[in-house]
Amino acid sequence: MPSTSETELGAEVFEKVLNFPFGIPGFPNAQRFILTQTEKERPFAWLRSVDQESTAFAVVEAYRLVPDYSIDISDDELAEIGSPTPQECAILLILRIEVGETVKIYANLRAPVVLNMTRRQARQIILSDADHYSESTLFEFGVKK
Amino acid sequence: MLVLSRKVGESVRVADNIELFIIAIDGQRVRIGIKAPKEVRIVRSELAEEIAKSNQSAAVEVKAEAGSSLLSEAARSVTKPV
Repeated sequence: MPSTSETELGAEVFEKVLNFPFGIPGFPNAQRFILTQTEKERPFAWLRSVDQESTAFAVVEAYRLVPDYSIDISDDELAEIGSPTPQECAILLILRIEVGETVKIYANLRAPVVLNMTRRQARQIILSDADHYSESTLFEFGVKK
Repeated sequence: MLVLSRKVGESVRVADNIELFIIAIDGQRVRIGIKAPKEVRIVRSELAEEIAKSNQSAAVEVKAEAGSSLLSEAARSVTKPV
């Protein structure tokens, strides 16, 4: 499925358990997460582990940061999260954020999280070497005083 | 595990639609060409390890007070690129 997902994360995905049947690489025991977001945090959100309570990832919908972000997900991979339609699918990027003089956001474009919003199933997909996305792409913003 | 010997220029077929070519050998380094349908995801094996490390450095202890305001600060700044 060629997917440039521009879905708006709906209320149905927040504050409810999202299943990552394959875990998240580096966190083999974390298979259930909850997305949280306050008004002030939009468009960012926290993906919080239910199983390892203190662990969370800052995430954002891919198109917010990279409007032309486009990945190819095979039907087999989609089947693993319940074969969502493009409308049911959201693509999230895991971020590392540093706030200093400027705000530096390192986004993992190489391994996006694909979320089936209806079934609340998700997995992190590692894109193939041919996709040329890096796992640590820097976006830098000025701080509004 | 199946182990095969191949020479430069030779190839190996996997199932009906994947073919691996030995393109060149230079000391310890082997260049491999892979012909496969585009839905077959091909990654260097060590990449999974890199992604795990990347996730570990991205993970945040949300209990910390700093973590709770991080996203709102980021959200305030994103409207203003450097």
